[in-house]
Amino acid sequence: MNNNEKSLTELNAELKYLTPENVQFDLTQGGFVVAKLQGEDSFKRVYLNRIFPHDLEEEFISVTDADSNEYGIIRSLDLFDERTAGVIRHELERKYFSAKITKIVSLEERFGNSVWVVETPQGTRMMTLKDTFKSIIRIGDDRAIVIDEDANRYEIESLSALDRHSFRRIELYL
Amino acid sequence: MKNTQKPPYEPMMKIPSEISEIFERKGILPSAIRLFYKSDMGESLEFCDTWVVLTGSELAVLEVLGGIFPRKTHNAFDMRKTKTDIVERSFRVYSLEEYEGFHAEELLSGGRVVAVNKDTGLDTLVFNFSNSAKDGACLICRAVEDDGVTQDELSGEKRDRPHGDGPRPKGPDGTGDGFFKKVKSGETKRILTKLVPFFLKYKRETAIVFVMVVLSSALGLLSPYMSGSFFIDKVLRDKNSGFYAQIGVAIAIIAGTKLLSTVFTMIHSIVTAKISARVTYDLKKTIFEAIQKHSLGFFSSRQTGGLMTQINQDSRSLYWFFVDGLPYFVTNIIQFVAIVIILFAINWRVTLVTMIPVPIFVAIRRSLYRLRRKIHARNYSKSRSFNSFVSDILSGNRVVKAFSHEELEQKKFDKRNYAYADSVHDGTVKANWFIYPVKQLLELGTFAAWALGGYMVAKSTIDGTYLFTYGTLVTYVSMLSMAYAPLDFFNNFSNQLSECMNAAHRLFEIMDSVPEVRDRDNPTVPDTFEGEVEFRNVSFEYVKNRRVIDNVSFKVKKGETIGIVGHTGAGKSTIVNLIMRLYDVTEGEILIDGHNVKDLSMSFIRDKIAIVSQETYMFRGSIADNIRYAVPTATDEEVIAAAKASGAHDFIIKYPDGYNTQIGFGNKGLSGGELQRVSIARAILKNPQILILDEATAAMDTATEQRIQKAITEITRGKTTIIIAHRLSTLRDADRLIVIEDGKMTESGTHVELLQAKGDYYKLYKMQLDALKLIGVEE
Ligand SMILES: Nc1ncnc2c1ncn2[C@@H]1O[C@H](COP(=O)(O)OP(=O)(O)OP(=O)(O)O)[C@@H](O)[C@H]1O
Ligand SMILES: [Mg+2]
Repeated sequence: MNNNEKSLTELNAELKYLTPENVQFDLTQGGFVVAKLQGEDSFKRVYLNRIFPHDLEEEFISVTDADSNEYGIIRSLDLFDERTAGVIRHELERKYFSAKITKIVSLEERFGNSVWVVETPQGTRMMTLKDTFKSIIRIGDDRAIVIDEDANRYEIESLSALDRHSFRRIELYL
Repeated sequence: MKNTQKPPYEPMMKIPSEISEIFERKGILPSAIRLFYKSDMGESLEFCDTWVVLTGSELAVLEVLGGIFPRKTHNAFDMRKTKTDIVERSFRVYSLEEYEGFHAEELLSGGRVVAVNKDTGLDTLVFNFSNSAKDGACLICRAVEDDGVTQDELSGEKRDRPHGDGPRPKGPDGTGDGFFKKVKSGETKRILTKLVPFFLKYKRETAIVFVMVVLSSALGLLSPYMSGSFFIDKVLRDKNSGFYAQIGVAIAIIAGTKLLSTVFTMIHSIVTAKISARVTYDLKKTIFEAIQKHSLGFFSSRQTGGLMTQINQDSRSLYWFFVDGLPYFVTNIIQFVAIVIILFAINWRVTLVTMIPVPIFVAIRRSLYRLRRKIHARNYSKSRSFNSFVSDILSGNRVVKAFSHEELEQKKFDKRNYAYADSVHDGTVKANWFIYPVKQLLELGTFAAWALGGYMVAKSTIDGTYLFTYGTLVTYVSMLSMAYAPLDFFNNFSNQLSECMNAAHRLFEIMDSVPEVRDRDNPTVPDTFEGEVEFRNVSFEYVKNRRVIDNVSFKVKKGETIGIVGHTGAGKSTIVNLIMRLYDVTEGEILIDGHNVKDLSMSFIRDKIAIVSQETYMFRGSIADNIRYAVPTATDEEVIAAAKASGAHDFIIKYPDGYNTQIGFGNKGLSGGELQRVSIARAILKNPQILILDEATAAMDTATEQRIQKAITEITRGKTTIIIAHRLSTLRDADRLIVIEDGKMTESGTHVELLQAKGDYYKLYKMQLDALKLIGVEE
């Protein structure tokens, strides 16, 4: 076991972390995140990816160029000042945007496929699920992701917080 | 971009007048609009209509509030929409003088169109879209540069979908997306109608069972009469009847009918047992055939274990319907009606009372039906997941053992096992909650009969009116419970029927859905085959939003040997999958001998091309069987010749069982390199016009590889060969090389040309050379 831990820290050393010391982030007029790495003299557009999108929203952020070559990893947004963290957070939220389902207005099922009308803070939406059971992915006990036939994602942040009618509609598929 | 005046076209869909009025107010006249498109997301990521129009000189984006929305009713099949007034929310114009490079950036659940400002060189957001509106967004970007994009393409409801999202159920109108439009009421009926041809297939079997059931239940109907009215009233009491006190004869008659009924039941059981195996066999075959015709995308998006469940469980459910369900259903209805008539004939007053629970029972049963169906769907899903898990672990047992994770897998197994048991248990518990109270409801009727009937018998004995005799009462009560029996059956029947309907639906879904890759009508079958392959701007994605091949173009001439190199995951195997047409391209076209592969018959293509794929798979059977798989009619000599050329012969003859050595079952018994040699033999045996080797010699030592390659070169002289390899030495004999990086073709040319270009290939070459130097091997 001891051996194992040692090799893990060694692996750790190979990751390149981005910190306020070695990188500067900024927002362009067009609303895109750019970064200037240590030793470079200009800002370049960067792309942000959550490494554990289900578990950690503000930790382990991989920063890449357009071709997915990684510049480095942000261990945690907390390391950066408020403004920078805000810029990154905003872009991440845009990239990982999925409407949060607050209410299931109706859910009609026919032979495994289903048509839903849901309410989200972004508006009412109608969607079709190809295989209802498979299209609802549970994360932990209380969260769920719903993926419709066009591969749009919707999130239910807390199943237990849904109102009684909504929960009854989805209950059978959990 | 260009200000070319396009001829007026017939638009498939018009911009709604409210929208075009707003554009007109902004100075964009309807006549100036070249193309339009509606996205479904606003600038700040809310769902709203975003109209995008492209004119000769600019791209304008109009976000509006209001429009047409799904109604907020509790019925999602209510396709009526709510319409509200349209209000402008924001309006932006991007002049094509100022902006260029419009492209769609894919995000998780949709994406955004981005343009580059020519002055500042900065990216700018143009508009957002969800995945549902993605195709149009990509098209409108392309349209900025490309005059060829038409409004038809843009408004075309939904284009042919790429692969990966499974077969689409056909709507009642036979087209792809209509599935949900009319299903509300007619669906069960539709499925039943479609089951009719199956039913006709088994009409003889069903008829036999039917006759037996009718006979034995008709006799069953007699027995209450025998033991009630007949025995008590006629034999014991009625001095005028011919049977009075003839107890021996009476018993003989009663026993006789019972015996006869038993004989019918016995015959029925025997017949059922006989046909059940046949019908199940046949159904399994039908389901299997339906599954088989689908393309690879269908299988990779499903788990094998799940399909196994489908074949086994669904055939059982369907079988039930034909043999145990339908005949009983029909007889039970007849029986019920007959008994009710008799009951009314015996005493209509009592019957009126005892029939009260029946409509209540029927009403409850109907509402139970839907709940049951959902419970079944859930059980089914859990059992599929359970089976998939088991099949996964058993086939991956080697890995499980290598990491000594038996315990972990045991835990996971327990979890699934529990989930399945739990869902079954839950379903049964729910069902029992209803079944017993409902049954009790019927008992009430019996009590009422005893009470009312008993009262009448007592009264008639006193005043001699004979409204009801004791014997008739006994007959009545046992008849009554026989009337309830069919109801009980219907109760179970609905349960089973729902399972069968689900099974039938799954079957028809697979049978009806058009395979994603399929021959067009009257596919071309050319007389000759040269073996020229051409990619023209081919793009491909397995799953939406993940482009694996990106605008690749190249040409392989007849007889040429071409090598494909590139990093792992670059898309090399995908390219050959596309040539074989295991998948259809998302964009662009692939030509073989100048014909689009989509126009050629698939069996023709696959007949002429042989592939040795990266993953070798051996079927259960002998080595010879496995080689012969390519050409089942091949002679022994041909099999041996192919094995010799592929270098398999040498090791096969070392086995005590030679070519009869049994392999398969997860390829036990052969080494990686040996398996590859058998696969090559299989491909060579086919004597293809185009031979594709995907890392076909990667597991062999270099000496063996060289020997085999030499043999292959001999055989494939004058034939087109495509070799994929990481080890550049494997590609020594290639006439030309193609370098694939991240789905794009970055370079192509001969070995020498590519080295001189000092690009990706050069880097790869240097790296392999350096690696050799590192271990002390100099050039
Ligand atoms: N059936 C599939 N469904 C979804 N994605 C797939 C599928 N098959 C392959 N991919 C993805 O497509 C990309 C290209 O795969 P491909 O097999 O063509 O790579 P390759 O160049 O042959 O790699 P290697 O050298 O490792 O064999 C990979 O990123 C892979 O993850
Ligand atoms: Mg490959």
